[in-house]
Amino acid sequence: MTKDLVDLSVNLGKLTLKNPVMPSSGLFGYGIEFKDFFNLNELGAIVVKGTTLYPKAGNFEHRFTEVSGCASLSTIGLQNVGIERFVKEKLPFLRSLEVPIIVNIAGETVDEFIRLTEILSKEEGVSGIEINLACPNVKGGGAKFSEDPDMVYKVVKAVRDSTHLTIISKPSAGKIDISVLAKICEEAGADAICPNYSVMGMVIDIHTRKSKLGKNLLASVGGPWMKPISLGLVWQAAKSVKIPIIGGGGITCAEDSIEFFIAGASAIQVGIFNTIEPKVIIKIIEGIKKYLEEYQVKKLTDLIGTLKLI
Amino acid sequence: MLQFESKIILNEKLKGNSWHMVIETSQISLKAKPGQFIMVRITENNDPLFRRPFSIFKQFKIGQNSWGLEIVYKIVGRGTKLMSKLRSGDKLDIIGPLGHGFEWDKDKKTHILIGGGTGIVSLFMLGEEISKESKKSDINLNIFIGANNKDSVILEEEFNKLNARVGVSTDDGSYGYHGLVTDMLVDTFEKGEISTNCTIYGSGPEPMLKKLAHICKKYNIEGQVSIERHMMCGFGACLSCVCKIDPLRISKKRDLNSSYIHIVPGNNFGYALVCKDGPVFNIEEVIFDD
Repeated sequence: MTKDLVDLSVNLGKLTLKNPVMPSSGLFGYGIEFKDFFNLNELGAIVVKGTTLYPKAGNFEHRFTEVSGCASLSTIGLQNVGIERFVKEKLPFLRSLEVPIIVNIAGETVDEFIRLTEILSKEEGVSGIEINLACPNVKGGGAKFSEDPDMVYKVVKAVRDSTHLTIISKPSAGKIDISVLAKICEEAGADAICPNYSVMGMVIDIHTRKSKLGKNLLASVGGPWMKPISLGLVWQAAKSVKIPIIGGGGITCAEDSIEFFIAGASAIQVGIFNTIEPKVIIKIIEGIKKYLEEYQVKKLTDLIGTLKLI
Repeated sequence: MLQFESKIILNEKLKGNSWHMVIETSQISLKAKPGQFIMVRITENNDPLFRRPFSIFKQFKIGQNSWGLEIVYKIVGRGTKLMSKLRSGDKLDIIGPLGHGFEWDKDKKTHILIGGGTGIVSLFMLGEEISKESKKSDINLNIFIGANNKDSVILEEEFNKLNARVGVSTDDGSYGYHGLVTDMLVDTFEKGEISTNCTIYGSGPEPMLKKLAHICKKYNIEGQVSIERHMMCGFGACLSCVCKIDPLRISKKRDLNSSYIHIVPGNNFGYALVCKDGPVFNIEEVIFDD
């Protein structure tokens, strides 16, 4: 094998990733679902499903449909086995890989975030924690953590104080400006920020006058259409903080990901497109290499944040 | 689970709104079992975006070392409409064979395959298997095909080639039995034409499967049904295609360590993944909601 001509490695906190591409939490299962398609060790990192303190059943049946305009409506409702079974049943396979494992944690209270962090920090084979701030704050009346700057600070600080692992903070932009959220996450001790954007929508069957998602009415609208929005968020977040930004939302190919690096992302996450082309991440890694070679950029880090303003 | 770019050999209108496609894909074809499905990426232009699941109709021998898969699909939306425009020589990216299919027991004498609409497609390979066995034993095979009207009855000739008794029903009475295919089944039982000491294999719209569940319960018949859901991935990553199941009636044949069945303690239901634990379930496993 010839040595790679370009250096794709990036640092997130204490972690060094050999390349900047990882699946986003939720659409990559526990990694094992993709092992027949490619060598998982080629990934920059794996971010596993959102994990809660207790198992969650998830939403009703009929959780997904496609709508015209390249969009998906999906409402999984954080179905997951809970932290105890994750550690016992899912972590052994992930641990056997030579890839940093990042666990997305979803708490309903600050205490739950702390508990999840403490459990994961004791486990061999977990390299990082991604804080899901799109969860509803149950003690705070059910609004998302991301909608309350004080809560964002409290959660990220509490996780920081509970672990030496790399922390990725994933706030949802919307009510609060992403540059404000990014600064709060940085001050609270996050090692990296992954801006998230989600919008809810619905779809109705006009013949039955029912939701096409059964008893589920509102669902998250996703797909490649999100890319310009996500890219804008990365650019705004990257301007406001010094810690690395991870871009994601609507990425389908290497060209998409390169826009994110130019806008200021140090790494990227691929979500929905893993379900359409299971090998997409491998294709993206190859595509980034080709781009850097073509433009004679020796290190990916030399591309990050190189947007020309005129 | 395999992924291949595969060549279309044939794509032709079968009848009315139904199409028939043959795809050259030896490795996926040779692994396919009755009741399994494939995920097809119809276009690389991302519109429509997601893969579409299709039941495998049957395996097709193209040449000495070359095998194909046949599918039969109805045009129901943008994806299938675009698919009907493809021609032989065009390529499709296919993942398969996927899912847990039908299983049948040679010790049982009477087998009933019952399909509504395009649901009948997923029963054909099972029919072929049982038909082969029935030629050399006292096993008998009965096939019930249900459709809305005469124009939407599909694959009758194909099923007629099997060593089986084939009955057709139409909802509007324009062909065969007048009424629902499940009513035709009950009539057959009531007239004593087929023994209720049988196994039923069903595939079709959910209201039909729900009726079938009542019939199986009433006559104390073992049944298997193929469940349909919109699927994002088809291989267990996204958790979209769940089916509600009864935790107390999970088949003992299932290996719970490798299954995706998810039961939260305290709940009187669980969620199974149609793409991994199904599409075929024991009929008593499934909770059909109103």
